[in-house]
Amino acid sequence: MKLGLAGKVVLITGATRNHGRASALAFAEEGAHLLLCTRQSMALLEETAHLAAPAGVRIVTGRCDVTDEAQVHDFVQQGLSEFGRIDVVVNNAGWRARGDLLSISTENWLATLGVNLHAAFLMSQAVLPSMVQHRWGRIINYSGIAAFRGTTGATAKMAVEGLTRAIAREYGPYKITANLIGPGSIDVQRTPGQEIPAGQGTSTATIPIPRPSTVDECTGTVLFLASEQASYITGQTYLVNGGAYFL
Amino acid sequence: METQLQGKTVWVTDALHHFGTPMALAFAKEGAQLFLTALSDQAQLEHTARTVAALGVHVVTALCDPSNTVQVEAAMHKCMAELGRVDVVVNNMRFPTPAHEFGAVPFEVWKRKMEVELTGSFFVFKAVLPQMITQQWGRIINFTGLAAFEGSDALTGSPELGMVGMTRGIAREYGQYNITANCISAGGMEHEEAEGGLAFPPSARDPIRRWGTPDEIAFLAVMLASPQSGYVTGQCVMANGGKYFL
Repeated sequence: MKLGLAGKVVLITGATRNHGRASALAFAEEGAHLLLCTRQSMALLEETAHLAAPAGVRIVTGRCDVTDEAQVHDFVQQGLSEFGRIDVVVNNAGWRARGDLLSISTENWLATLGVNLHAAFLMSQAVLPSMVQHRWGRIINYSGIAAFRGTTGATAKMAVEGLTRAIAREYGPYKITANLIGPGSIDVQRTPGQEIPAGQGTSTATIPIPRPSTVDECTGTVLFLASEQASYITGQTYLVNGGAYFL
Repeated sequence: METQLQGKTVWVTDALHHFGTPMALAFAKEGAQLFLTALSDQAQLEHTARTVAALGVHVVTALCDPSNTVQVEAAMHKCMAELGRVDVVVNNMRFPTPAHEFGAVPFEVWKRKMEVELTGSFFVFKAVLPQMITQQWGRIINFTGLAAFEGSDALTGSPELGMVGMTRGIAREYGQYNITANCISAGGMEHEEAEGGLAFPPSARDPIRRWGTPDEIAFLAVMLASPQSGYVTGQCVMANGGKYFL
């Protein structure tokens, strides 16, 4: 299947590890140029760029706190001055508040709103003028299984579904689509402070595909939603969760 | 139908706007005592309280900015001191905003809306859930809207779907204490245009071609608050004249 991604410019947030890195490598293999950012570790981001380099695509990396309006603006402007356009945005960066409502601190609550919701707002608002100008664009946001099964800490992940639908409706006439991917339990490396305490992870033993997914099992969906082939798919939620929840 | 709400205590979080006053009146008609809060306008709040109290129930009021955790805790303290319990929260938490083009939404407006509707709700639930757990009984009724489902406006729709997520979270996390959380999605209501938020006027393509009335939503809230609805939780009940089918 031809994805038509060669030569496209793809911005991926949180591209240091896991889904972010796997998506970056997959887009590079399709011939897409990369614009990658991280808030935390430039060393890991450079490692991602190094791994993608054999694909022969142009790669620009930068530090960006995606919850900060000025930093998002500056990073997107840097990308536009380097590439002249941004075709695809993968809002991959995420933050999780564990525990029930009464155990979530205000600070952790606000962090989930910042990284999971405000960042998608800011990044989308910053790149859409370029996409409108070029009459083509793909915005891919992330939700997660917790939002569907019911977890207060995932409130922002459900809110981003509302944002995705609104962008889909408003920008469809410009050949811009916006969709959401909802992964399930994944074998990932976690940022310090984001580890799952022993015994608190969601069991995958009883789901239709009784195992956690690997980080690579979402990349096919990301590539597909970004591709020319997915031009009539917008405002949708694609769950990649082993059947843990049926929409 | 016997709703069994006589003597229950119901906190309506914004008694002056949106569904606030119709909700207070509907629960008062069922014999519930009311705790009415509002962001500002003590005089109007007292006027509303007198109207509700005329139905023969005990009514207590407080001014409260829900996005300020200290004010929320003070309000909860007053509710407990004067009414002794809180059984139902009618979380009428709205920060109406006119429709914007997405590219023109100021980040400060976006953040304030999330702060009131999502973080404000989070603070209210932090305040009431320990008491509901002690009581081993509680009802939380949230409001969402049509924009969330139709994708008609990012500023309105994003927190609306966030409320759906929060409802599910509370439902799962606190169901073991006989606490239910549900959400009412109303759209096409007659007060929408007057409140300056997004409006969904009747259209020739709608199954029911008229505005909806607050009384029709208040009935749903009373039904969901009733002990008879104890097995309904985490749900989003839609009332929109058939404009959108879930």
